[in-house]
Amino acid sequence: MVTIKDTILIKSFNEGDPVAFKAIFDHYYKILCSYTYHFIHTSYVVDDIVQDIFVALWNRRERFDCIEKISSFLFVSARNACLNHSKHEQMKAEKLKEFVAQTDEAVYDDYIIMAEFDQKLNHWLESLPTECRKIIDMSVSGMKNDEIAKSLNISVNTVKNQKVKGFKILKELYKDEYLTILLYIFTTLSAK
Amino acid sequence: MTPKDCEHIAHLLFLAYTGEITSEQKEELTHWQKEDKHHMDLYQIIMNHERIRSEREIFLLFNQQRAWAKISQKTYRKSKMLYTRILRYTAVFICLTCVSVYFLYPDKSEEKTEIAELFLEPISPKAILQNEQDVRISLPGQCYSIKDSNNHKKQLETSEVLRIYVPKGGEFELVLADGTHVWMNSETELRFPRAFTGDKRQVELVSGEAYFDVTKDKTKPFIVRNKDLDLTVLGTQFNIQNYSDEHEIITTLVEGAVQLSSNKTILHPGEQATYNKATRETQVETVDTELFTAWREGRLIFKSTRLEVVLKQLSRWYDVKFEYEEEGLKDLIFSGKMKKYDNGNIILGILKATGKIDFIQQDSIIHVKKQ
Repeated sequence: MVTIKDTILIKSFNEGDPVAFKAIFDHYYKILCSYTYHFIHTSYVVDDIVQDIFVALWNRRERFDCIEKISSFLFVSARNACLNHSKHEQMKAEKLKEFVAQTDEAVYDDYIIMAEFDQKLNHWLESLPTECRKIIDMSVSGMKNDEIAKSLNISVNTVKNQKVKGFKILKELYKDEYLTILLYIFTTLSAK
Repeated sequence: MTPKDCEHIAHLLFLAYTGEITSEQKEELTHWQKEDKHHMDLYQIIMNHERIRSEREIFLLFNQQRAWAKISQKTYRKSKMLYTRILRYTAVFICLTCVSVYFLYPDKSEEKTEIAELFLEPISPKAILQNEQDVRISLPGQCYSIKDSNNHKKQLETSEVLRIYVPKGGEFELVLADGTHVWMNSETELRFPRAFTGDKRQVELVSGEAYFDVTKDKTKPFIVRNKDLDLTVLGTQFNIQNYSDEHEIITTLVEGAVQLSSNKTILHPGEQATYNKATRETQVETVDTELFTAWREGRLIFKSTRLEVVLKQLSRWYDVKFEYEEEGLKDLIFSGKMKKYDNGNIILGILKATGKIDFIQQDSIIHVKKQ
């Protein structure tokens, strides 16, 4: 998995490397879709908006010197696009209020934490084989092993085995991430 | 909080949710929760099963691959332009080299002749193998042997006839069950049996260009079929060019003997038969076989060749389209030796440097103009 924090990634992106662009897209696409979908409940409209945002990001690629700026560009653009859209569609007043509230920085952070969390969950699930994904999907949505077994008409043991498999893949997936996290803790501690 | 911090917290939450969190990480997360009452609420909201379930559903509404395909389409031209900018510098250098090459090796045979010579980076060889059940296998590398390779054996065993296709920009070497080598050029399709049974070895060159080095077996003649023409072979090396967008099938014999079904003509080494698909006539002439078989060794040789023929080759190698501003440009004559595996733009730079023609790229179409 490409670590989004990578400064080399930003540099290649600035220089117009499509691989770097793809890495950024992969990380943010679904997050942005989900973010936008909360305000506009029409998936094709959302899809169009998000695509346009990425095209705009690419056209301004020289201007971003860190991932923070890319991230805020994406979310701010999405927010603006939603507001623009709501003007046309007469979005409900309370939704709009909620929207304006989001300009409050603390709430904005919350959203990013939530979105990143969802993205990680999604990334994990998409990396799993179909059978295993079905089971893990049910499990992360809060179902117990016996409930899953019953609804899929399989044995509880199969559920357990598939879960072991799923978690093994998870470890593999975030192997590098663990390292960066350790490094992160180390650097923040030494900075204090 | 910076987005980096946010991502870090999100990661800790994710690990906590999946139960993969270490004790130190857990401590860090607890610390974050206690920092602010608001963080505690957020924790509850994020970890809520109902929320996660509905979020999963939203994620599934969107097709990431399709979106990427659309975005790359919209950003494609822009990136091409940047590419051209880099190439401009390269082109200046190459033009200089080219001019010197021109003076070093002037082609005296014809006045209109231009010379070009160069060598550069590879295009990747690739091919797609397909069985009767329509299972497609993408073949990595440059060579695949039906006889020796154990790869994909299971998928292939169920089929009697296989199909291999080399797309634009690719080239491939295939070894058939009897040990015959087939070098396939770009945009070439071949149908062949998994094993040769019966008293003949028969393959079909559906379209494209291939060089055959046939294993000798007098008891089982080797036949290359296509819609218009059959070739019967007894252990030999030859090249067939039969692109569907051309009206001629050109067979060039290097070694051995080949018989054409059209008029029972027998070719001798060094001879070339040109079969016209429309008139069904065959013409035989003696040629320099190197000109027609050099592609297999990664070289392209033109000797007093029309520009149209040169560019047709290039369009297959590099998957681009050429459009001519004037019909007359097609008849300009070029000679030269080029190494294949070149960057297409660089070859164009050299043709340009002859001072006769100019190329202007617009998306995937290259316009050919008078200079």
